[in-house]
Amino acid sequence: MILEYLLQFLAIYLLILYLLKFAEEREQLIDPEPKRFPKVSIIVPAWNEENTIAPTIDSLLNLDYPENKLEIIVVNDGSTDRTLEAAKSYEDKGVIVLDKENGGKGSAMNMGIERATGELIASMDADSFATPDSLKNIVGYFEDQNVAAVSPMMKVHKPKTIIQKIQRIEYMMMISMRKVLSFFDGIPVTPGPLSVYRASVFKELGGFEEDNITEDQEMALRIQKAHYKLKCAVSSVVYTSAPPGIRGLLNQRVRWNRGWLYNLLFRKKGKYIKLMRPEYGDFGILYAIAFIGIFLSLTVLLYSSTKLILNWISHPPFYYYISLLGSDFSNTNFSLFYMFLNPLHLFLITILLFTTIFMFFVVRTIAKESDIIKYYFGYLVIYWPMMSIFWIVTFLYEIKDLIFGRSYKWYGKE
Amino acid sequence: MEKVKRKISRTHVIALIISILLFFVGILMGLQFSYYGMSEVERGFEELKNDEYIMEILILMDESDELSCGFYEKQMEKFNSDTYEFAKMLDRAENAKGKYDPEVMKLKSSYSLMELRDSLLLKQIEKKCNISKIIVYYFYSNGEDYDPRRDQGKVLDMVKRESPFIMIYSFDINARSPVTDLMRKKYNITSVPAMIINDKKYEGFRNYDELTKIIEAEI
Repeated sequence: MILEYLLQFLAIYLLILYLLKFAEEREQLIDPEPKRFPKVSIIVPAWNEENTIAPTIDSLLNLDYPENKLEIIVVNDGSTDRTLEAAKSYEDKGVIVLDKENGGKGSAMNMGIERATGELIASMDADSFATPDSLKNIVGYFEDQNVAAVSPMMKVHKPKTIIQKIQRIEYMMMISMRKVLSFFDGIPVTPGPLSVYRASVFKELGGFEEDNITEDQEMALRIQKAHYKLKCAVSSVVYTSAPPGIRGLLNQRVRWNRGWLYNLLFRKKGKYIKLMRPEYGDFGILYAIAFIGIFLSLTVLLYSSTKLILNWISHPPFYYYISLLGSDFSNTNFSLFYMFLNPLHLFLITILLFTTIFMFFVVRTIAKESDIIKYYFGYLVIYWPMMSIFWIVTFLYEIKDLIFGRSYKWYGKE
Repeated sequence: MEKVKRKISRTHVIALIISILLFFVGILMGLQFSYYGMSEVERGFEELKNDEYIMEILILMDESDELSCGFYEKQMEKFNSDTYEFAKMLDRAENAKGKYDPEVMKLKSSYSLMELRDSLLLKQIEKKCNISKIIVYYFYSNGEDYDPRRDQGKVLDMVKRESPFIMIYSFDINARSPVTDLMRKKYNITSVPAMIINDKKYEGFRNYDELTKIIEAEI
């Protein structure tokens, strides 16, 4: 019960913090105009993306950016399908195609970085599509010499399934929160689709970690550790493919979760838990709160799940349904106010209220989407229980690793 | 590249103050609602008690049988129905406040006493009016040993809907009520769920078909 109260307090605190900061820094929502157009090398690491590599490259070729200042490098990471042939068909349009044995996204990026000649280097997922002015709207941030990397506004490309529509809401929430985090210099990740880095970052801090399943997150934390800025350009829109089904989403989110835990607690070259210190200012505090919040949520979740599973073993859920069928709901004198006998319910309502305000004002202002409320209920009802289950699966993998030794990999198609 | 000068915004302090205020307001409101919720439950119980006292007085004062048995029968059926519904309200309050909440336990104990008085009143009316009702004393547990597969209450609900002449009086053996303890001793209840149907004991769960047969045999 105390843990639940603490969790709800943290949630209320974070939401109020975000809303206050958003109100305080609203003028920063406008991305700075570029004063010049530095040369940009866009690296597209690709593994078995024969269906999407061509439209990805097309979107990059369509960028509204001086042609002589743009370099596109596709790195085929040992694909077993026709990704390489599809990429090579663009060589006559100036696209550089490199080929290597399969070694993971980090190694593909590093190969591209070595070949790149731009002042700025961007990563681009081979299943994502940049809008024409996305690059132009990012480069203005690099006039600030503190800025090491900038990420764009990611949106879900043509969501069809319910899972994709829910992810659409989630991405908008994530981007909006990331924009507000940038006001704190607190961004913890530079995601794959069109995140742009200063080339000197790689010279100074090194390339991507090749054995890291969330190499983009690790790079962002490395940048934070070096006290450089990460920004978010909301007018730079990139569409990305989201997993259409539960299985793909599970694979993706377990990888993200495990990567986060690895970077935080198990990384051999240095654990990023050390960033939770006042010397890292707002970022240190927010990172600590996120860690405490996730740790508390998982404790409550694991405790409740264990109790539920043990209860199900002795009382199979089938019988719950039978007893429910026997209920006479017309006779029950259900009165809403009895729910409020518990203050926890009140706080839940408060959090929902603040999240709704966040959705309406902040997400609508930043993400510029107005029909989010349509799927908001689905997002609340489906998303959070799903993410809880994904965290349970994450923990099962962690327990497996504790017993059989650490192994991190991409868990299948996402 | 230049390194950023890290700082801690004062927004944290403002957000913390607002959160703490909200939190305490929430706790106070929750306590107030809790108090209000229990007051409503207690008020419902007082109303039931008053109805019961009125019935008792009517029966005691009606020496020349001026009031018809039809009237008594209807009143008892209504009273039993109201009492049964109140039991569900009490269960919900128990779920919200916890099984061992002192206020809930006290109310449950008083409720058990009221149920017993009600059943005794009914027996008086049966004698007076030569009518026959099926009286069911239902013993159950709302504690750690609660088994939804053996929720006799749900089956009783279904049967009562079809047979409104059944009068059900339920006793939670975890409620620590002297009345419930007395009833358990009187009928030698050793396990729950258990039912005393017209003074015949049935221990163990009875499904809908089994219970319907038992009721039909009593008609």
